[in-house]
Amino acid sequence: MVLSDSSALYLNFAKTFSHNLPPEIRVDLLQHAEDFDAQKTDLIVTVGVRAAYRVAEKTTQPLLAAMIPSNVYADLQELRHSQISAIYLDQPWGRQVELLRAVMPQRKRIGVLYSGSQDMSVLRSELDRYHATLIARHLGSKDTLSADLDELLANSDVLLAVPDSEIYNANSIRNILLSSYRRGIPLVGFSEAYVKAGALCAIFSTPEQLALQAASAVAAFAKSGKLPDAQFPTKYSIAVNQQVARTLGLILQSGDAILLQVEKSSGGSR
Amino acid sequence: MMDKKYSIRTHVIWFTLMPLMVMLILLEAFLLHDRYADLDHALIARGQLLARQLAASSEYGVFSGNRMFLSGIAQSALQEPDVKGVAVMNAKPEILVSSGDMSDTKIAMGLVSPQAPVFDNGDVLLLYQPILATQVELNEPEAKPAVQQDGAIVLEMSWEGTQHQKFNLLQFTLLMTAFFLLVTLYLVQITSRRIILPITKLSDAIHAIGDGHLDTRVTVASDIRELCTLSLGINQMTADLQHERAILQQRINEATNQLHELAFFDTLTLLPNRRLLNDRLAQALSACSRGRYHGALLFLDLDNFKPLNDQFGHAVGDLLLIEAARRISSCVREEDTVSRFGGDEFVVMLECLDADHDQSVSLAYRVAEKIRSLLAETYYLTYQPKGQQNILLEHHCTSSIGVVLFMDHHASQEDFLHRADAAMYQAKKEGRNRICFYQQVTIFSPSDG
Repeated sequence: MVLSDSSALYLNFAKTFSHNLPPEIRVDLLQHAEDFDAQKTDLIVTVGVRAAYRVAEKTTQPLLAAMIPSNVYADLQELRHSQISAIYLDQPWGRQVELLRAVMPQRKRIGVLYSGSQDMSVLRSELDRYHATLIARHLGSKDTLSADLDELLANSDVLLAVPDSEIYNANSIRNILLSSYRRGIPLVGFSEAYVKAGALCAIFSTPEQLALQAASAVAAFAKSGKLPDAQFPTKYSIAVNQQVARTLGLILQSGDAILLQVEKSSGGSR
Repeated sequence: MMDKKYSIRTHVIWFTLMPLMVMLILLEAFLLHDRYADLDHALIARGQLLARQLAASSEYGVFSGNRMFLSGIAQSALQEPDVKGVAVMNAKPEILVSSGDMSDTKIAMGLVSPQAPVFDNGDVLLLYQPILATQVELNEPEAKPAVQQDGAIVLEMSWEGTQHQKFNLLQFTLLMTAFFLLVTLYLVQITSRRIILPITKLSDAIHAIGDGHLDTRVTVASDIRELCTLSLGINQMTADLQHERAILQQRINEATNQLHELAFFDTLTLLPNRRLLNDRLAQALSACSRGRYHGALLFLDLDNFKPLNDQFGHAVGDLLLIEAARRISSCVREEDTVSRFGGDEFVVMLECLDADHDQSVSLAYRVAEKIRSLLAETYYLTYQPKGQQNILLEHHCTSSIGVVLFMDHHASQEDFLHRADAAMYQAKKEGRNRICFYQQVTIFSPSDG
């Protein structure tokens, strides 16, 4: 197992992963991706983007890349065409839409600000199913963040954050939250940290949940010698910031109640 | 070279007050300097704090480019004391807002930078504060982005308030110093007067004592112990001097009197001697000439005195002389003079008898006769020879008396004495125990009287 770095997030993942493996499987843990060098193992599990790239570049051994965004996987596949699989960090669009529907069924105009070449078609079609509209705006440049955001917010009911560090990062999140709440528009995040920072709610998988999923994938590999296909998280959580809800004049159920509702309509499980 | 002398006050001022003053001034200079630095520092610190607050509250305004919002913040900052102007820039940097009495903003921008955030040329204090994005922990899986600068605040502070405070401080300090100095000078004045006045009194007293006024006493109404001790000492010393001098004076007087006695009186009979007689005779001569009164000189000699001396010794002779002197003295007035002229010779001087010559002769004769008869009476002399009992001696003795009247100045006192003497010899020659007048040949026998 190779971690991108020794942050608490990844260490939690590694701990839960090790505890949930069958006893006959031995795990060697490397906490820093930079220290990795090719060595003889049956399978390498990488945690995080940096570890995934590093290992993909250095070896041709079977590789399970955990905790990477789904859009990174395409890049990785260009480096390694075979013997690679992934457990994504982000949730599938459908699940996000379910959350939106469960929390704010009245807010139909869903604003998304993105950069790069993200594919919005899946999201658009998912929203269409519930008669909601996608208002997507591509970021002009770093300097126009405020202007683009302003324009998007003017036409949206909800701002759906996507994992894009160009737009959403530690420096910008405060101002993005301020801008949206000045217009009374809630932000839906994609991790627990966003909810703590001031997002209304988020659907996400904890490192523990992802580790359990990775452990079962590794156990399956041990049995069959075959990696499963790249997959979205199967288990997930929902966090709600009731303080933000009150400020925005919204009445929200508890996170658990919302989770039940999402699970019911998407058919997933915790 | 003579050293210059200074008064106590000058001494006190120079040697006590001056070092104190120097210390005071140095101390004040130090305190002022310190306080000035504090004030300068306080302004800068206040400006920096304000700039930091502005930067924090301007973050969203800069992010959203909201000039209205920023100018509201800037206006509220201008309410703070000493704030002259506020400029807010975005990351480019472009000036978003410039409010207040900001000097040329573009120039001001050039004077401060992230590398030199404080510019101070004495008139203007410019502070540069970057507006940094507040980072929110997002648990991002990969490396956290570096802190991003969204813009900058340039704050212009005015030194005017600080200068005013400094001026007030300086003024207060100078006033206090002047007040302190005046009070101290006044106290020195009072104190030196309290020292100088008693000392002047003491010094005057010492001068007076030096001039011989030993009855001088000095009272010093001072609560300074040394001065009181000094005055007590001077008084004590003067009293002692005075006492000793009185004793000395008394001794001198006594000695002088003794000398006088020795010089002018006969030690045996205690009668004026020849010298005093001469004196009085000179006075009497002038007094008689002024008053035109006659005076008389009676020259007496005891008859047969020598044989008594030879037979019984000088002690018995002396006893006789003393008795004779007593008898003569009892016959004359207070103002008349009885003197022992030498040996057994006596001279009696009668003054101011009468203006008339004959009357005067008569008066003089009566006195002479009285003396002659008294001296002729029997003498009882008690004497004690060595180792024997007292012996009472009965003795008969007479006297020969020469008289001269005096009035004019043509003759000297010597002449008058010679004439009296000559008259006495005449009396002796004529058989003793008689009175003889000079120039007059008339002999009065005792039986005629």
